Amino acid sequence: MAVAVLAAATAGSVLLGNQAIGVRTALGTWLHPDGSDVQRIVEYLRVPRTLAGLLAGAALGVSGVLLQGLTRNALAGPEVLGVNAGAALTVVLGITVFGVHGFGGWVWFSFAGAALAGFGVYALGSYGRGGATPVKLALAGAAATAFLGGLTTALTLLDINTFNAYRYWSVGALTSADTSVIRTALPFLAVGAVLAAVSARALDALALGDDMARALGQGLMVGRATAALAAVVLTGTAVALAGPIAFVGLTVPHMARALVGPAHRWLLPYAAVLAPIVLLAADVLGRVVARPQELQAGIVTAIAGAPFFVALVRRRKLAEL
Amino acid sequence: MRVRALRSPLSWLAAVLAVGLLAGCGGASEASGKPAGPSIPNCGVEVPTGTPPARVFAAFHNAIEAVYALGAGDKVVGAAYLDNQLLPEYAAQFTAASYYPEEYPSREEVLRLDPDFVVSGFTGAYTAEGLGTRAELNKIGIGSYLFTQYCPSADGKDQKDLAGNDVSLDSVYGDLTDLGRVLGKTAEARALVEKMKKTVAGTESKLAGVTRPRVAMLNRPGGGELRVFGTGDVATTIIEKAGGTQAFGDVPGRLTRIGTEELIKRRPDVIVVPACCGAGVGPSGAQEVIDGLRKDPALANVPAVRDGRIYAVTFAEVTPGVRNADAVARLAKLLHPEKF
Repeated sequence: MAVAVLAAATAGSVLLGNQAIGVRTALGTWLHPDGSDVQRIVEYLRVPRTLAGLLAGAALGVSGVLLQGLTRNALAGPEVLGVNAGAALTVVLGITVFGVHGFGGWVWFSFAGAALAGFGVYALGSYGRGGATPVKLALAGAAATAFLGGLTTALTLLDINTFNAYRYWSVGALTSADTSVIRTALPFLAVGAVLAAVSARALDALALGDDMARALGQGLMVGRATAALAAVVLTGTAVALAGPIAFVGLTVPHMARALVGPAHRWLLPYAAVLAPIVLLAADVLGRVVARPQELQAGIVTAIAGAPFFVALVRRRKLAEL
Repeated sequence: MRVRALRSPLSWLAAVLAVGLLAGCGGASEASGKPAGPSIPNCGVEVPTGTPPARVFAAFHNAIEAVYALGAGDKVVGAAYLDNQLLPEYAAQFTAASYYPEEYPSREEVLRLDPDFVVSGFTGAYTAEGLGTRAELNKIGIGSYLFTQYCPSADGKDQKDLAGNDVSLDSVYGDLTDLGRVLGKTAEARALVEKMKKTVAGTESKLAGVTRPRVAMLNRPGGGELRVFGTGDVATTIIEKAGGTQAFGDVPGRLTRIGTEELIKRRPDVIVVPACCGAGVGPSGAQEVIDGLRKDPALANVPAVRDGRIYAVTFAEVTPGVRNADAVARLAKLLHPEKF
């Protein structure tokens, strides 16, 4: 069912937009490239942004599940571990200090920043008595987000061109990644997916509380580290592909939980299917609501996602994690 | 300001009330002890003429060059925001002014220069985030002028809240004439406007009966989204005076964000990219954007890309100001090289 909706969303993302393209026309130009505008639109614009939506969406959804399971915090998202903020700061550093332009270069900076921030927050959160407890992780993440965000603001204020580039990127859009960027991202996403799958059992055990998990014989440190690493890899890649798109990683795990319950071996794949649906729908909406203008997908997810999330929070008890 | 003959007793009453109100509110201008000449309405603010300002702060490229072109460059104590290289004829004189290249100088920084007049080429100078609203400046004895194509809907509003302004060249001529009067340079203003009109007329005379190519003017700040100039910008006027048709002629406002697909749909014959922003930026500053458009496989069928007709100009020449006439002449040569 969910997969069918995803297929529909994918088709919609290829066919709908500034001008609607018929299924037959789209398929025809794909099978017999004729160099026409329609073929170019499908091949160079619609397909890459759809792929970016599928991949970034899945990565954000899975990463949201991982982070919520890891911190046992229903309001966790990539924001909470400071992962987004770290990725954003290194991308801005890449632009200002190293003069890196274009997403092919930003991938690596984003990835490094996500990893460094994630690792730093984890180290900070595990320091002291009791190891990396959920509360300490969340606090360390919040502190890191504030600190890194402040540095990013300072850097962007220093230079108007950096600010312009960052302003567009920081909202999140699916139009920035071309095929080569998407190809670069694939191995990272594969690694992230494998790590996420491996950590599913550990996350289920963690959901029962540290003591119970220990009693069940789960290696807490290893499980947490695997899940955290997966979240960092997936978020860093998603951010590089589409910018730090808000609310998808936060909202989709709750949708998945409503459908399949709390077991991570089901939650993770469902989130990986549901999140791209949400992101692609947001992107298509952004193309058609304000023609001839186009709204970035990140704007639509923020506008549509926020009230949706509030409704979700009010309806479901958050203590279930 | 022209005073209409007052006839009815009611209009007498209104006049007495108005004078009373003005006396109540206009304490500052009285306090500064300037003889009030006839004032000029500018974006809903009355700007007095008579005693020309002695210390001028100019914000934004078009304002800076206008003050120099009107022969009041020796009055400039400070300036901010050059979009491109300053015209060479003003460069030597300009070095005397304190220059703030990137951000708005803070309000304090500007007040320290002790200007008695601010000229701005864009709306943002007169906001709380900029130098303060024009009413606030007036209260501390600083007069102000704003290019009328950037009049906000009300004093203190920013660029996002423009009134429905006239973007014709006549409005540019009007600004230069008014600013000339305020700066005590009426004759210089007249000569400048005459020269500009002659340049435009000379260009137009060569363009009779030409086929008008579809022209899109756009930029891409920071490599992000495309922004096209719409009919609410003097860019449209320049395109049409230069013998082109605005490819986004149904898009209102100054700048509109569009997706690549919209540009494909419009099929412009010519794309013009204004280079911006900084004192060292010439037309080559647009090269990165131009290369990006040329390399984008999605755009390969767009006539402007296919035929290699993507041109760089300076942002300064497509903002309302002294360069507009030369901008028309230059763009006309690019659009219709066979006519020149």
